[in-house]
Amino acid sequence: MNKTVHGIFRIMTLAAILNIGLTAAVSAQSKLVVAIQPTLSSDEMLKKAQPLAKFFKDGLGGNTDVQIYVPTSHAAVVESLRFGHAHLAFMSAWPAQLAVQLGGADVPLAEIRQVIHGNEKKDAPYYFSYWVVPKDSPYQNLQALKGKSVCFSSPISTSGYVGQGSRSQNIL
Amino acid sequence: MDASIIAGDVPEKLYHEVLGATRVIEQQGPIPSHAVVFSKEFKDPPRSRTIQTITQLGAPEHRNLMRSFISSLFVGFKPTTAAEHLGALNNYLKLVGLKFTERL
Repeated sequence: MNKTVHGIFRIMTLAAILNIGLTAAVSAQSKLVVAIQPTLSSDEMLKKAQPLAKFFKDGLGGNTDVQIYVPTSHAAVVESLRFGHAHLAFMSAWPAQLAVQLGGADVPLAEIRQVIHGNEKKDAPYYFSYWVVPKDSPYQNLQALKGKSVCFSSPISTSGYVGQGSRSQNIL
Repeated sequence: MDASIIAGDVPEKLYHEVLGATRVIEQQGPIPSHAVVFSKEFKDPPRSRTIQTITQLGAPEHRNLMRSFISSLFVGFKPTTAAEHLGALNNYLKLVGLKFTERL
């Protein structure tokens, strides 16, 4: 397995700052800038974010200018926290870990999700992932997959790549 | 393709479709869910007020605000710390040896 994933987070700091285009001073308490990790197009997400912005504004007393910002990449979310362009962000696990590691960010809240552990539905802040093979596959364990083809999801996916990679490192 | 990966945080129908057509040979976890991350510069009192506000998103009448575009599986938030929530992930990263690289 390639030990270094080059180019995953190669958005440069300067580019991130320019792309953000926000001038929020974190010390300005009348403004709240929320960064959301991109999952849809920015335009689509910003449109859907308006009710959430209103929720924040109302919840904070009505006098806070709430800006919801959808960066173009995971790296830009990390950078926006790191350089104080966003006060907070909704993030997946690995980018969150990078924000902590590189920017001294804090993780005060974890998302509880509807997940499935084995065959059991649960509401939990964690889940599991599974190596699967066709039912008629001759492979019974990870050791048997050595040298075979495995389909992983995105190389920055915690469940689809990082976690599974660590498992295979242990065994293969 | 000889093998693939399915996670337990996908829609239930997809999860059961995949597991119904395949056989599990190994599992990995726990894998941390998404998180709310605060800049180190974001201090009290607005910090605490904001945490209280975000926590209210878990109320049944507000959940759709999150489900509609951030996470369709959203239920709520629980207080945590980086060490608690991301500890397992840090172990995985050490084992795999993946590194953050940044080119300026």
